[in-house]
Amino acid sequence: MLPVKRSALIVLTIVTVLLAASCSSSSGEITIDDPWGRATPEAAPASAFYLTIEGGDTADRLVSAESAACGTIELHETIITDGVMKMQHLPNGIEIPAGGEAALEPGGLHVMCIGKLDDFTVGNTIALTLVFETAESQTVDAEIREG
Amino acid sequence: MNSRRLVWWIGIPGALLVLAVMAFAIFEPIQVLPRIRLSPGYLLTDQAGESFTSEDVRGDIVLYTFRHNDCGNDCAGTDETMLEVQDRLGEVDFGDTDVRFVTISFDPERDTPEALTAEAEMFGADGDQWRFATGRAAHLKNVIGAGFKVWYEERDDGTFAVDPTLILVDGWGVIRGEYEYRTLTSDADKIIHHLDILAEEIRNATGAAGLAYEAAHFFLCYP
Amino acid sequence: MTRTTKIILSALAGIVVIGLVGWFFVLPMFQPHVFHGQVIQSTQAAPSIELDSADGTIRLSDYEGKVVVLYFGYTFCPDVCPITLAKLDRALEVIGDDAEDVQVIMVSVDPQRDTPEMLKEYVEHFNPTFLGVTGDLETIDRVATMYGVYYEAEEGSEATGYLVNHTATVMVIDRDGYLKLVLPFEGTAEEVASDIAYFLR
Repeated sequence: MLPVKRSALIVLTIVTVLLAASCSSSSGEITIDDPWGRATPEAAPASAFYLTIEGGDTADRLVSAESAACGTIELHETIITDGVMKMQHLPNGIEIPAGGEAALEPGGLHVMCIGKLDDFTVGNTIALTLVFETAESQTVDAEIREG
Repeated sequence: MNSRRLVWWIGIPGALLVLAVMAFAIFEPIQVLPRIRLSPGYLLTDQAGESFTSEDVRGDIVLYTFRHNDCGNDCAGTDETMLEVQDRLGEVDFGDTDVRFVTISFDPERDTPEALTAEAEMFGADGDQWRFATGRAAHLKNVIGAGFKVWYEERDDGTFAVDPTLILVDGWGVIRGEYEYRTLTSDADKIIHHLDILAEEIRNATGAAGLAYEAAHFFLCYP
Repeated sequence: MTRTTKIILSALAGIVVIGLVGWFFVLPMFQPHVFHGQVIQSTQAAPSIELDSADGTIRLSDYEGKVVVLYFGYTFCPDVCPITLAKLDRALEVIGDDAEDVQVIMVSVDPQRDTPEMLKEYVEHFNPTFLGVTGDLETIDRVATMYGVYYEAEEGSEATGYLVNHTATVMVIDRDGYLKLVLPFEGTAEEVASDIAYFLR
C-alpha cells in the first residue's frame, strides 16, 4: 500500500512541477512574431516595419527600436477617421498587455524608419532591435516584402 | 394562332416592363437631389480660433453661407434664410444624421476669431451646430470661388461684393443644392423641402431601397 | 401533331425565349453594378489638372479616353500611401489586359518636399505605369480643394520635420473626364478592381 501511495505522490509532484514549468516558459517572456519591413524605393524618405508582440507575464511597453539600416526610428500609429489619414507619433511607446498581444500592422501601429533606408529591397533581411521598458531588448531579422 | 400566342407570351411581359420603367421615369415615385459635384476640401479656423476642416463635418448634412463682417444688405437674405431653416428643422425627420450650418467669411483680415464670435452671438449661434470660420485668403478663393463656385470680389476700397448663395452638402461630401438668393421670397421653403428629400435618401441608402434611389438618380427624378 | 402538342410546344418555346431574354437582358438591368465607393453622378466635368511630372507637364485632358484613378499622397508617408498604391497595382492586375486603359496618378500633398523626380521613382516602384505629379503650393491647394481633399501639415519630430494629414480616398474619373466615384481607403483590391472595371466597359 505504502509504496503505491508514495509513487503516486511522486508522479503528482513531477506533473505539477512540469505543468508549472511549461506555463512559465510559454508566457514568461515577450515573443516577436513575423517581423517584416516594406520594400521601398530609394527616393522615398521613409518606410515601415510591422510585427506582432506577444506579451509576457507582466504588462510591458515597446519604447523604441533601433536599426543600422535607418537614419532614425520612431513608433507611429496611423489613424483613419472618416477617410482622413493621420499619423501620430507615439513618444511614450506601445503598450503590450500581460498575456495579450500588440499587433503592428499596415494601416495601424508601425515602426517608422526615417532616412538612410539601406537596402529595403525584396528578399533582404534587416536586423531590428526592439527596446522594452522592463524586458530585455530583442533583435529580430525583419524580412523585406512588398506590401 | 401559334405565332400570335408567341407574340403575347413575349409581348405582354416585355410591354409591362417597358411601362414600369416609363412609369418610374414619368411619375418619379422617388425624388432625389442631383449630385452636383464634390464639395471642396478645406482647412479653416473657426470662431474659437480652432482648426475646422471639411472632414469635421463628413457624415453630416451641412448648409453653407458665405459672408463677411460688414456684409449688411448683401447678405440679409441668406442670413434670414439660414435662421428660418434652423427654426424649422423640426419639420424634417433626420434620423441619426446631424445637420450643421457653416458660415465662411471671405474677409480674414477683419474677421478675426473675436469678430466671428461677435457675429455668431448676433445670430444666436451656439458655435457647435452653427460654426463661423475663415482662413487664408488664397485658400478661401480656392474653397469658395473654385469649389463652391460662389462669386465674391474685393473692391478697390477694401469692401467686398458677393453673389449671396446657400449651398447644401450631404454627408458624403457632395454638393446637392445651390440656392442663389435672387428674389425677395425666402428660399427656406425650398431648402426645407430639399432637406426632407435628402433625409429620405439617407435613410434608404442601403440594400434594395438604395438601388431604387440609384435608379431615381439614373432617371434624373429631380425636384 | 395534334392541336394540344402544338400549343404545348409553342408555350415551351415562349418560356425559353422569355427565359433567355430575361436572363441576358432584363436581369442585368435589375442587378446593376453595386459600387463599393460613393457614386458622384456630376454633370460637370472633373476639375482640370495641370501639374508637373518628371517627364513634363501633364493635364487631365491628356488622358481623355482613359479611366483616370486619382490619389492624393506624399512620399514621406510610410504606411497608408504605400498600402493604397500597392492595392491599386493589385487592382490593375485583377483587371488584366483592359488595365492599359487605366492611368493612376498620385498628386503630392507635400509639394515642398516632393520633387517630380522623387515622385516618379516612388510611384514606379509600385507600378511602372503610375504617374506622380506635383506643383507649386497654390496649384496643389486648388487641385486638392476642388477634389474635396483636405490636407494639413502637422509638426512632427526632428527626424520627420512634419507629417501631412490628408483625405485618403481614391477618385475615379471616366473616359470622358467626369468624376464618377470616390473610393474609401478601406476597400480591397478586388472591390477597387470591380468598380474601375465598370468604367472600362
